[in-house]
Amino acid sequence: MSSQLIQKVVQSVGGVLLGKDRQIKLCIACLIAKGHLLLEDLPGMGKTTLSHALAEALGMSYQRIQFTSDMLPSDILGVSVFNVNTTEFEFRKGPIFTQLVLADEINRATPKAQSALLEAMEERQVTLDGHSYTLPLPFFVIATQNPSDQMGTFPLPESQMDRFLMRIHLGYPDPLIERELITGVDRRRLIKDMQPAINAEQLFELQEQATKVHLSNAVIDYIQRLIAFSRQPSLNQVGVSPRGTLALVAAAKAYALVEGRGHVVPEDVQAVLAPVVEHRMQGSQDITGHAGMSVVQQMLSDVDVIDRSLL
Amino acid sequence: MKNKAVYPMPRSSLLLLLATVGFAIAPHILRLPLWLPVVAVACVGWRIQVYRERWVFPSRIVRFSIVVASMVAIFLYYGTVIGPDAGVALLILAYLFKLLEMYKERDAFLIAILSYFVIATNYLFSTALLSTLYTMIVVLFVTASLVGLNQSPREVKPKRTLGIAAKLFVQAIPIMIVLFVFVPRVSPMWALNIDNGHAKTGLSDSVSPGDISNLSKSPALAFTVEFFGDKPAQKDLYWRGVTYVDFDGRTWRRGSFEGYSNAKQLVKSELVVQSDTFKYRVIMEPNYRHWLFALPYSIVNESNVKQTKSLVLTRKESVSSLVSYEVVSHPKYSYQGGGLNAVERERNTQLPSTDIRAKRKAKEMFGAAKGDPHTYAESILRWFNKDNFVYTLKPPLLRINVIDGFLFSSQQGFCAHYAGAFVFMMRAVGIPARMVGGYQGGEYHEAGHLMVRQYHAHAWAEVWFQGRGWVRVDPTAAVAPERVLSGPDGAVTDDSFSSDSPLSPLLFRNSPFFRGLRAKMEHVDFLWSRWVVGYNNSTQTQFLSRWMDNVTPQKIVMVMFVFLGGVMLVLAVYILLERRRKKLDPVDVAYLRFGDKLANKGVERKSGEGVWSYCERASLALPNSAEDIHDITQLYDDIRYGRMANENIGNRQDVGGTLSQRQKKRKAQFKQKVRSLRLKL
Repeated sequence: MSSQLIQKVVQSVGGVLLGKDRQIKLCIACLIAKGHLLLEDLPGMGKTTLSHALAEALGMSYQRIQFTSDMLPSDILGVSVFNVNTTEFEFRKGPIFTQLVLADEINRATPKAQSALLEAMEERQVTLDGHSYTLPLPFFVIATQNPSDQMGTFPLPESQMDRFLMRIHLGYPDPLIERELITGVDRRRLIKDMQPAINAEQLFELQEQATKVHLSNAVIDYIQRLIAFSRQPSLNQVGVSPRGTLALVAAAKAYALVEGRGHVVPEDVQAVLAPVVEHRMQGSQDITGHAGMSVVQQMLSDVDVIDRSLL
Repeated sequence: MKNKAVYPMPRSSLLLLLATVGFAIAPHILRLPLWLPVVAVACVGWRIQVYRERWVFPSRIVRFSIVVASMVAIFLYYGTVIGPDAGVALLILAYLFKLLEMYKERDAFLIAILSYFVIATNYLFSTALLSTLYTMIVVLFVTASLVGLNQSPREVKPKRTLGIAAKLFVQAIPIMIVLFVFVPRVSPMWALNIDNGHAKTGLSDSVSPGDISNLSKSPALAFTVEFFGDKPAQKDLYWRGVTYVDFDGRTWRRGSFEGYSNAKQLVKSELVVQSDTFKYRVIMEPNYRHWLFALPYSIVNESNVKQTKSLVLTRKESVSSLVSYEVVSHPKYSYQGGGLNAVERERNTQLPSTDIRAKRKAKEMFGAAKGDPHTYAESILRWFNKDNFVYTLKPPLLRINVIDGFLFSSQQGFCAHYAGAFVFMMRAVGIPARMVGGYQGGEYHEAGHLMVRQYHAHAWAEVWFQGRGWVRVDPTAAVAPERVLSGPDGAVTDDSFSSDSPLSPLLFRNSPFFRGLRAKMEHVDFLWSRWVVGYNNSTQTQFLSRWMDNVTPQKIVMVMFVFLGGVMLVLAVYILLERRRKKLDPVDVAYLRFGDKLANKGVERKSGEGVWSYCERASLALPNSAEDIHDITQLYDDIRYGRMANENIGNRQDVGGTLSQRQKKRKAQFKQKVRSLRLKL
């Protein structure tokens, strides 16, 4: 049942963003694992298309916030306005009060504006003028950003990168797919015509199921070997934190559910490893924030699924 | 009283410790006063009540008074508080009382250590194979409770704790063997004399044939003999033990003031020895006596063994544990014509004033034999043979005039009656004679050694013939020659040779199965006595000289340290390796074998490759075996990753658990599939 639902979402998003099934699955897994998603790639690679398509397919209310360098926190969270009729301050909710926030080009905003969003992401509530306002449920942030070596960006600090469960790259499309893109209809029109594939209750249920996916000792052993590998001092790299480990587990479970399995296999862990771990492993000398990539590649190839070192 | 914080002992540790206490005391129970087990139960019960917080520990006054009371009770029971029996009883009492004083962790450790000591005291009384095995099991328990005391309460699971103890135990075995083989056997500075009340079987210092109406037919082993080379004939197996010289009309007694003499000197001065010899080793069961048994004439080269003039071998310490000695016997020997000195002649012809009829009869027969001692002796034997004499183990009691009563009215008796009567008759006419106690015969075990049992005990006579010296005469042979030729059960003419004890080996002696079984058990016992308990200085030298020439204590010690070092090194390496590596799951092992099979066909699993990716790749490379590959991967997935892995805790040794039937089936199926996988290209 659940796998059919997920399949439906994957298909409907895949109809818009062609040839990116793996990334779509990861995105869905990220949402099922109740994590926020960071899409990172060059401009024009389909980040916004993907996020819009996801929002439509999941049938959630969504707001888009375009981050700019002159943005203020109140542009995101909302502002208290003096109401002349009631002679009271009245809270005008900002664009963040929605189920799905599409934060475009998040690294173009100043750190002040970024942290306003990121705090809301972590606490799932907004505190302004001494009042707390709870954000709706489910609450997701899908942020997009340009690679940090691009002009006019304020790189997100490690602590804030940590708030995102996954960071996903889209990459150039296949030549065949690109051809289809050239010949096909306008993507934005397709998004407008999209029907929600699931509703909020079904999403809750999926999230619930994901926590119940079985994680065997063998897989835990494997995860622990991966983590231990990342923490080797010789790598000159920040290792995966315990929060990163928990994120990896949650993501792997969700991905197993997306793949229609009741239990996690090492392939699930491997599939989510790069998106979950890379952005958390920035070295101190790493300006671009992408040194994590090569380490993850090493982790994938060097850490054996079956622990042969015991032999 | 100070308010002491009581160490909250984990439940399982306490249980293990109390069980250990019980096991440690158990072998002593029969030797202890009857009230002691009651005290034991009370102490254990009290400790349990303290654990349940129903009672409190006894106060200082109570403790002091029970200690004093128990000392007094021990003294009243044994008549002393020193010596092995009373000492062990005291030790056990102290050990039990310590339970009531177990406030701290340290006290619990003390009890565990004391348990080792209490177990060791069991060897004072028994060195048999079974009791040794038992003590080993108890040692295992003590070690387990020590392990338990060192574990956190949550960890203590009796089964696992025992497992750890067993591991420690097994690791100690090589060290034990090295120490056993190499530690020089120094004879103790002191000898523990445990003979009060233990001399229940075997020969004693005196024999009173008239007082015995039912000779015990104990099948217990007296000693075992291992011949090197030729074996003597059954009829020549007269295991000479002790000579009885003094007779008071009822009781034959051992000559108590016999001069010792060095056996070699005796050979020179009195004996003519021919060169044929039997060489053998005797392994004697403890009999708490000082004499050793051998075929005459024998030479025993042990520093603490001496030979008396009457050729009795005496050992300085009593035989309180298994003793083995090597003997060279010269079966053909004779005395030089020197004759007896006056004192000896006097002692060997003295008679009480009783038994007039026998004396008269002796004179009559001596006259008929025309004063020739040989003819006279033969005529007595012929009389025993012709008249209605019966060999029985249940003779009637003889009140007064024992010899007369036996010779002329009852005419029923066993060896001691005949030998006694014969010696009496000889002495009655002034011919020196004495009674000899020992064993006659023995049973050959299939493995080749001879087993002499208590029911082989025998008495015969030795007569001094002028010119020949002491000559052995066995009057029993005249009545029941079968006794000498085949053993006691063939000799008895009535049914008196049957056993009363339900476990007696005599009981099933006609069933080949039981005989075989018993023979095997006895053989194991023999090997145990021969190689383990009887392993002394000389056997050690002998054993070690197979590999080294010129065995000296220094060399032994050196080799021992080399061996010990070697063993420790091996153990250390093993422990280091074992600690570092966890056990690879058997399912993983099988999967890796599967990987090897595929690798032989050119599809090797990359180190970071998951099983399903590998399955996909291998299926593409080997499309004909795709189904098998998929099945195996699916099974592996089920067992290791799937829901089944949840129940699958049992395959991890460090967690401990059991496998469900379904899991076992799956696992077997998986292994079977991997084994039978034939890849087709």
